Amino acid sequence: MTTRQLANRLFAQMTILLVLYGAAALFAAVKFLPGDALAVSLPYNQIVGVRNVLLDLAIWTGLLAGGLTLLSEAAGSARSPLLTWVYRGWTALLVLSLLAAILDLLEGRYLLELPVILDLVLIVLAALALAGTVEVARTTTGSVWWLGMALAIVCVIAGMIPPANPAQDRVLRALAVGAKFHIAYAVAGSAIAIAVLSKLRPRTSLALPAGLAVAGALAAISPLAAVGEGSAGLLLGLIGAAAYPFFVVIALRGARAPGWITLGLGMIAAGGVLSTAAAIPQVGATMAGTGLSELVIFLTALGVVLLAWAASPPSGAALVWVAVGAVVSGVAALLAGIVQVYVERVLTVGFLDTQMALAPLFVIWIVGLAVLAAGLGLAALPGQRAG
Amino acid sequence: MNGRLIFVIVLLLGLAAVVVNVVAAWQNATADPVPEDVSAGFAVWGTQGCEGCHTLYGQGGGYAPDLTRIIHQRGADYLRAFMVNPGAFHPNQRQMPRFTLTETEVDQLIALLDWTSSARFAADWPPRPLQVAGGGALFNTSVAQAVPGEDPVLTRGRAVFGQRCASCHSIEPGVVLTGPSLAGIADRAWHRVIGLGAQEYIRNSILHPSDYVVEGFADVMQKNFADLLSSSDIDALIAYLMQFGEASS
Ligand code: HEC
Ligand code: HEC
Repeated sequence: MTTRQLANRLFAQMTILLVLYGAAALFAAVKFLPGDALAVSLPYNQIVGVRNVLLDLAIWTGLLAGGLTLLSEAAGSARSPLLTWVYRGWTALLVLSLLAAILDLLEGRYLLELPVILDLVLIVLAALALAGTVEVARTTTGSVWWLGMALAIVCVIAGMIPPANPAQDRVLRALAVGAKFHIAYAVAGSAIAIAVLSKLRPRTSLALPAGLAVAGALAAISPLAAVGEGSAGLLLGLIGAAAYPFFVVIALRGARAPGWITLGLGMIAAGGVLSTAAAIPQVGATMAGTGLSELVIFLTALGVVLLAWAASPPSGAALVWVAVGAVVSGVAALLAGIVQVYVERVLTVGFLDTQMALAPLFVIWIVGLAVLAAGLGLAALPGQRAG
Repeated sequence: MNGRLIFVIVLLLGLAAVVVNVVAAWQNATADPVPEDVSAGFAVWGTQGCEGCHTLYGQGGGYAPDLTRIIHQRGADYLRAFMVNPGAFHPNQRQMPRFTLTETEVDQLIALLDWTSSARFAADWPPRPLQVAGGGALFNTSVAQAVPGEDPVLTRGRAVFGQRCASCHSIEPGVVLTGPSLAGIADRAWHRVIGLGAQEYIRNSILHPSDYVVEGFADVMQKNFADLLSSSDIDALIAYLMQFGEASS
């Protein structure tokens, strides 16, 4: 198959993964409401493991598809036996991962649930994909994408190191989860966004990926602030938080940026502001383990998916639904997180009572996720590709 | 300089910052030796998927309370009883499913939670104690201050009760949570144990709950209040509970 065809196939796989992710995210969220009838028979941890794996694989698939699009534009859409084999392997990996999820074979490490053996398969396939796309690294944006992907592979390897105790696990997470989402994925996704934007205006600037790379470092280590390391102090934390909107605005300036890119960058900036603010020791220690610290990862993750998607965006109607869903669910989760931090962490009201009190905000959050899931479903329908 | 080179330098700087912090934190995480049952407990923690719902050191799923210091708050006996039958605790709240854990596995999990709470790693976290249910400054301040002119000892007793006891005991007649309602306790306490006065009975119930187990209840009241409460707090609690005679129920 040609690189262009392969990219299209991978984008199709990504949309399927996203639709499944939307359903799982919705299902998991409903469990936050009081009186969940399936609390014991289909417990939260199982749903959420499936949800996290689906999202992570959707990001990988989307970023690979975006990279192949860059390659086909840079070097012409040529046949590539190597990449065709990688695509077949990737399809098998997705099928095996779904099977592992259905058969409850996922691992019990939050956000690192993919079984180690499948991690290994993923690393091999991703490395082969990078070998098949070295040519893209001759272009400016292509090289940024390539480096981001290579870093993501390193982060997956870090996640395979077995920790002896939860303290070590928490530290490894700064690489395996933090650096992966906030640096590797964000850099690779922003490279795709810049490649799209550079078609709309004369100049290509790497300010955005460079800004995300430094600010992302602060975001990656911020969970360590809660354990006395990785603390940035007030000033550095504020500078880091300000860096996200700054570089996003710089990147969007001067081009009528497509909606998928604007939304994606907005979500990355929102997640980035939250996570770099958490590098301020007092803030990080207070918000660790609340809904806010979870929200960070999901804003960033979905933002990256939207950037990758921008290389081959679905129709505008789907965008409206996705945008409304993302904003409504994001704002509701943000408010719920802030209220949780205040009530549970500052007033020290019990966790369970706080969760009860948050039920109205959870309802709005769930409605937002339902709209998001509907938007993702709409985008997956055939004939929804714009242009 | 060309943009690509600047980007690579910036990326490397960012990664260096991450690596420096990770190395420092890793040393901190490896400072305490890890006993075998703790590693075993951590393996059980992973295979049972506890982390999908719970956080440790503030990381993990946000569906259930953080467990880093739970042993300090509840004591091992309570946790043992809880893990065997979680459904019996905090009814009408979010429920934890029941896991089929062997006795050894429960012990290993408790060893793990003991380790997380005592390891030097993250010794300063969380900044304020985290409660599972009840409690909170809300209860301490607004409710406690709602009685003008009250003896400050009773106010203190009410606050401590809200923080430490209200998750298992109601003071409304007939409301059974994990423990019995304490309405009418001032009178009941007189005839619980021959030779113990009401105040002594309540004090003993707090410090040594297993000495007398109320009929129809399991012996799951936590056994570590002697460590958690100062003697003046216990006096205040007793004074507070002694207000609830039969007339109040
Ligand atoms: C499906 C989600 C879920 C999973 C998985 C889960 N828990 Fe829980 N857990 C909860 C909820 C919800 C609560 C709060 C409800 C309560 O305390 O009654 C809780 C509470 C607790 C408490 C505190 C009880 C108290 O009252 O102080 C402990 C200890 C605990 N869980 C240990 C574990 C361990 C160990 C595992 C793994 C074997 C585990 N949990 C797996 C949901 C879960
Ligand atoms: C984990 C739940 C739990 C907590 C927290 C708890 N208790 Fe209890 N308590 C129980 C249970 C269960 C019983 C009944 C079984 C027994 O007697 O041990 C009980 C019994 C009692 C009794 C005896 C009641 C009677 O009718 O004889 C008193 C008094 C008491 N608790 C006081 C307290 C006080 C004061 C606190 C707070 C410092 C407290 N409890 C915290 C669970 C709890």
